[in-house]
Amino acid sequence: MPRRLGPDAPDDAQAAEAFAREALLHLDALYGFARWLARDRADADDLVQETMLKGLRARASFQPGTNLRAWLFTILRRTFLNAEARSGREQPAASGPRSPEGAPAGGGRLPDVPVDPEPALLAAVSRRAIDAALAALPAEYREAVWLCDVEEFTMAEAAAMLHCPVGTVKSRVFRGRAQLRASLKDYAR
Amino acid sequence: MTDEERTTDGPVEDGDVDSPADRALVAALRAHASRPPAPPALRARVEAALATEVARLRGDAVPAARHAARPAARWRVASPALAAGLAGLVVVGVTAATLTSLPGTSRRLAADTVRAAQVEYDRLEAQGPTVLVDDPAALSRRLSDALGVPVRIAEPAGGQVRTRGTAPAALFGRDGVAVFFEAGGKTLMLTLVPSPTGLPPENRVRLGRGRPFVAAAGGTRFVLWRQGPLFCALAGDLSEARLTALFRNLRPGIQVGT
Repeated sequence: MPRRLGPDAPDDAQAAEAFAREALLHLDALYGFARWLARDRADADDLVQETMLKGLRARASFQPGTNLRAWLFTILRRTFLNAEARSGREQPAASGPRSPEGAPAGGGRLPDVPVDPEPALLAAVSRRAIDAALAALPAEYREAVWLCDVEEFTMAEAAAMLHCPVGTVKSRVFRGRAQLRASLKDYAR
Repeated sequence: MTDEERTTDGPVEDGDVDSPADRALVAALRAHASRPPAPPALRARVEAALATEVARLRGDAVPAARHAARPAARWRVASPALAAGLAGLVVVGVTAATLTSLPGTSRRLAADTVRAAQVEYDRLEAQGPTVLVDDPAALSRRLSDALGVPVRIAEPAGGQVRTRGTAPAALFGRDGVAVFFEAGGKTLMLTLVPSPTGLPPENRVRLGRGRPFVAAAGGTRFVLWRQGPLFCALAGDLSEARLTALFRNLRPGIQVGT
């Protein structure tokens, strides 16, 4: 844990410690997102740690009162993209499917007609099925669905994180859900 | 999606969760999608890294005073091409050439290279590692990813040098990576960047066949060498004897593929 500061500690250090404490509240959420982005657990660990340190060092650019979780998610995603670019790997929009639990990934097809399974069927699907269906999504759909539907960010917040218009996020969420429904219907059969 | 967003953006056509199917899907995602909590080891690592950063801020008068006490740089910063030209010609060995042993032009080019290394060393030392690494396999993977060639660094036996972490680095306009070590309570930093190639002949300066290059700038000492496709700079606020001893200890464990 960050150490408690003495009475003579500089204000900056106290502010940094307070910031670190608050940022640590979002560690699990950041890790959950990182596990979907990164190739493996070790990369996800590195990504989360780098995000937290970058956030701490850049805390002056964070506006108090705004959404710290969204701000950290933005740093995490940008850090991931930069690392991918440095290593020469493909960008996530074109990358293959990933799954935190190594679930089997499908082909990433987009159904022509959205399928509308019974809600009861969806309630019965397993974690494995959900993970596999998410892993089968194109990365850009998966990001949008994860941020909006799982992490419950607003579409405006997701758009800011993804550096795209709100309409694009809506479209990705819509298409991502359609594909998920199709995949999950297959699993439910 | 929130009510606020609906108000802001108007009726949502795509991505609305009003349909029963969408509500069920979102509920299923929130209930079942894998959201593993951060492992305790990661949490401990992050907390330690943040605590180190806070401690650095709390004690920032120390490095600031030390840097301020350093003499002003005696050397002007050269063009990256000149510095790169020198960097491309430093070769590996066990004995060292020194700055004062060089002829005039070579000395200036060497000084420029060391100056560039010093600037980057100061920046990285103030920043610290961005990723803590104590596993050789993870370190190798990180270095190989960052540098585009297989790189392995084995800690020397005896525990004199301990790996702390890595951070992105840059020299001569080329992106690389710095590895932070702890050696007897001191920070030892190895910066690796892709070595310049295709240099014009007039920029080539021979610094001594089979020798690393040892120099000092602003209280920091450097051992510079080229290894395979990489330019390597080992630096620390140590005596020359101590640094070269650590270099001899560390160098055999550094393997670079092509």
